[in-house]
Formats: sequence, C-alpha cells, structure tokens
Amino acid sequence: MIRANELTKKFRLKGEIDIVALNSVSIQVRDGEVFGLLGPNGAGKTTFMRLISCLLSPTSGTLEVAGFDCTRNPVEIRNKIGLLCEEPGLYERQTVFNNLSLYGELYGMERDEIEDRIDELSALLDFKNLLEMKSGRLSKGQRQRVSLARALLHEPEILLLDEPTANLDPVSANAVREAIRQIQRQSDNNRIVIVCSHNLDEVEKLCKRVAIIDNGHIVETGSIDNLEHELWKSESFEIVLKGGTPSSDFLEYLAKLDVVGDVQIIHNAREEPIGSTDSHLVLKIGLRSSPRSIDRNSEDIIADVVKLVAAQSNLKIVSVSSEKHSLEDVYLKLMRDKMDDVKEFQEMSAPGQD
Amino acid sequence: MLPILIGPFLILALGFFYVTFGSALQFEETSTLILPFLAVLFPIGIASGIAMDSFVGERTRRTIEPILATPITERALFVAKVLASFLPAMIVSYCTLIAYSLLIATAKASNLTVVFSPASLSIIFWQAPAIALVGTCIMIIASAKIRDPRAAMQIGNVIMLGVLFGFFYIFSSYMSEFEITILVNSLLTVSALVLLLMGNKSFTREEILSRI
Ligand SMILES: Nc1ncnc2c1ncn2[C@@H]1O[C@H](COP(=O)(O)OP(=O)(O)OP(=O)(O)O)[C@@H](O)[C@H]1O
Ligand SMILES: [Mg+2]
Repeated sequence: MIRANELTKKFRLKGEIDIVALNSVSIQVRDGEVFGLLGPNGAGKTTFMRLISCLLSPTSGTLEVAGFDCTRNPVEIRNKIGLLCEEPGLYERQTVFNNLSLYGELYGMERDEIEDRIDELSALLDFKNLLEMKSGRLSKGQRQRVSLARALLHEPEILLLDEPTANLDPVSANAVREAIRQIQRQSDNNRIVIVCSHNLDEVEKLCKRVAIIDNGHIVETGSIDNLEHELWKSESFEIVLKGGTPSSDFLEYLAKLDVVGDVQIIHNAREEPIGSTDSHLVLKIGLRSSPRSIDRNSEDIIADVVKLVAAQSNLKIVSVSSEKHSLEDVYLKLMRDKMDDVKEFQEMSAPGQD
Repeated sequence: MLPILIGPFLILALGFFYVTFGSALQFEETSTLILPFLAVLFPIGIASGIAMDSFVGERTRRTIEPILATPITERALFVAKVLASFLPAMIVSYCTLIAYSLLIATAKASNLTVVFSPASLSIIFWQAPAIALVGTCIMIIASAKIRDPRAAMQIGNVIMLGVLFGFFYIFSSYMSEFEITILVNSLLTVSALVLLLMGNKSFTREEILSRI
C-alpha cells in the first residue's frame, strides 16, 4: 500500500522562485495493483517516484510506503523498492553481470542468491548471452532490460518504472512490456507496480487504474473505464436512418430513458448517395452527463438504444457511428479542460479528495 | 584513469633523466631532494584526478540515481568515494616512488641517505597522505555541491595551486626544521579529519541527486 496525503515537494533554488513540483497530492495505490502515472513533461511524475523511493524528502504532507513513513523509516522502504530510472545508469566499463551483482551486494544478498537471481532474470528478460559483455556496448533496448533486471534483483515489493519504454523501438518496447506483465503474473500478485509514461497506449495495456498529473496537481485518478465515463458528459452518437421518420412518441420515449440526455433529428445532414431516391436522416443521441451513477460502459448503452430504434418497423438503420474513446482521448480531453479552467482543478485536487 | 598511467611514467622518466645526465650536469643531489616533493604532489594529483573523473562519469552516465535508491547509507557512499580515490592514489604513488628510489640508488646517481632525515620521512609517510586526503575530500564535497563540472574543475585547480605553495614551503625547509614539519602535518591531519566529518554530514541523497 502506498498512501500519499497532501504530499508537496518544492525545490528551492537560489535567487529564483520556488518550483512546486508536487502540490498537495493525495493518492492511494493498493497492493497488487499496476498503477499508471500520466502527465506532460515537467508534471512531477519523476519527482513523485523519487519521493516514494526516499531519494527526496517531502516539503510537507505525508507519504506512507508499505506501512513505513518515508521520513522516519527510509531504509526499510528502500529495501522494498525497485526503481527503474529514466536513464538506465549502467557502469559502462563493467560487464552486465558485474553491474547486476554490485546491486545484489548493495541489497545485502548472498553470493549464491545473486547468481541464481541473475540467471533467472537474464532468462526472463532475454539477455543471457550479454552477461559477460561490457555494458557500454549494449543497445538502448538491451540496457533497458538489464536495468529492469537490476530493479527486480532483490524481489522488491514495490516496482517503480519511470518511462520503461521511452526511446525504444516498437519491438523492444513490446518485449519490455511483455516482461513487466510476465513478472506481475509470476509474483504472488501482491507487488505494486507504478508505471509512469507518456505512452498512453502502454499505460492502457498495463494498468487498471491511473492518475493524471499536471503541473504538480492530480487532475484525475480512477480506473481507465471510469475516466472514459467522465467523457460522456457531452458525448453523443449518431444513427443514420433511411426511408422513414421516427414518430414523436418514440422520440419522447427515447429522451426519457435515464441513459439518454437529448435526442435530435438532423434532416439531410449527410450528402445523399448518388442516385438515391430515399432521403437519409440522422438521429443524434446525446448520452447522460452523470456517468458515475451508471454502472455500464457506453458501448452497451449505445447497443441497447440501437436495438430499440431497430425495433421500430418504419425505421431502417443505415449506420451507427460512435467514437470509442481510448485513454489518449481521455487524457487529451482532460488536459484541454484543464487549460480551460485551471482554477477548477485546483479545487478538485484540494484536501479531502480520494 | 589517465593520471594513474601518465604519472608514474613521468616520474620514472625523470628518474632516467637523472641517472643518465645527473653526473654530467651536476645535479645528482636534486634527484633525491626532489623525492619528498614528488611524494606530496603525486598522490594528491592522482587522487583528485580519480575523484573528479568518477563524478564526471556518474554525471554523464546517470549512474548515481539507482545507487541512491538502494539502502546504502550516505556515510558508506561518502567513505567509498573517498577510499576509491585515495587508496589507489597512495598505492600507485608509493610503488612509483619505490621504483624511482631503486632506480637512482642502483645507478648510484645519488646518495639516498640524504632523504632519510626525520623531517623528510614524515613528509613522505605522513604529510603526503594527509594532503591527498584533504584534496580528495574537497574534490568530493565540491562535486556533490557544485553542479557545473567546469566549476568543479576550477576547484581542482585551486587545490593544485595550494599544493604548489606547499611545495615551495617544503623545498625551503624540509631538511632542517623537523618541528615545523610536524606542526604542518598535524594541521593537515586535523583539516583532513574535519573535512571527512563535514563531507559525511553534507552528503545527503537529495543534495547529491540534484547536483550530480
Ligand atoms: N532537482 C531539482 N531541482 C529543481 N527543480 C527540479 C528538480 N527536479 C525536478 N525539478 C522540477 O520539478 C518539476 C517536475 O519535474 P519532474 O522531473 O518530476 O517531471 P516529470 O513529470 O518527470 O517530467 P518528464 O515527463 O519530462 O520526465 C519540473 O518543473 C522540474 O523542473
Ligand atoms: Mg520524468
């Protein structure tokens, strides 16, 4: 369990104004969870990771990691944490094996244990053939895998991955992601993994819950599905009809459904296909704006509404168009909203949230 | 790495120079008189060189962050950094100086007994390590405090300048005034200890992380 409560980190630079890298951040990450941390450059993601691994101490607020307080018991916390930094940071003149065994020693592991672990991890991450190579000769992807192994060497309870696949080609990136998934499957499933990344697709594939952070503030936390719901507020979908017009009773009935916000008919909204005699019309259906109360995803709801329309004998459905929202859409929308109203978000991440 | 390779080479070249031309140019005496001077200059040169090199390396390769994430204590890290510069420097220096002494002794270029006065012995075996330790500590504290590698380099130069001043002092007095030498040695030892304590205190993870 990681519990941050109104965690604030300021950097004090001589002759300049303070940089507030994290501003009263409150987050909880549960055991066994793969948690994503998203945000633009300079948002404070790395700072958060460094606070968790006790490399920095908080300016104010509290941070509890695996039951220990980060200012009182940093050593206990460090023993439980595996950190993959933004840069691999290998000693280039040393072999891969020596790089890894040095860390084993720093974590107080026995010689045999270190060798067994290196054996196991190099097989898992597919660099057994590189063990005797000087790490200065490795490619970026190979370095990344070695440093992932280094973070895993002492079987940490908490794994922090700061941009694990940045700068990797798609194949290596996928290999690293696959390794992360495999590690998570192998572990007794109590390990916390925090992934921080700009690659939304990756976070979507790896994580169930995410926090979106910007300018030191938490913009949003929640499961990806829930965040998608957030977007419904003003989302709608369209059904293109042919041959008939819905009766006003039916339209009224649709509008009264608790998942539907409003219903609109747009005549001649589309260009007619050449030679068409029937005119098309478009039914534009807005979804309800309080998504959290509804425990279903948008696709199911759209499918239900379409079924209702299709059941009307006078209506013929030509097509249904709705956007499927990826995490990227969620993220972009949240960021846009944030730009629109910075103040509102400050209130959202104010004390008492989460 | 460079100072370790070049230093001994230069000193032994100097030895050969004395052996070959010493008698002709009538400066056999200097070949021994210079021994304490080399003993002082050489270790600090190598030690601060290694210290600087190791921090430049950590900085450019970003190797310090994962190290700081391990449970290693700040004190252990500081001591490791000091010893990693100091010990090899002392070992290389003494080996080179022994080789140098053997060289000029076997060639009978000079009478080595000149150098075995208490003052010069205390310089070789006490002052030299103390100065090297002071230089190393300053270098490591400076590296952990100063972000700009060029600024760190300048500090390195200032250290060398201090050593050169020390050299003039040694050259003028090491054969005669034992008491002064002991006083200077004690002062240096105390300052080395103070610097060790200081470094130990100021060597915090946060500081190191934001500088290196
Ligand atoms: N040691 C430091 N001294 C001063 N300011 C710092 C320090 N470390 C980080 N900052 C500042 O804190 C803010 C957050 O930085 P951080 O590295 O946490 O961002 P990030 O989300 O990891 O960004 P990126 O995606 O670019 O890695 C930035 O404005 C940065 O300039
Ligand atoms: Mg970062």
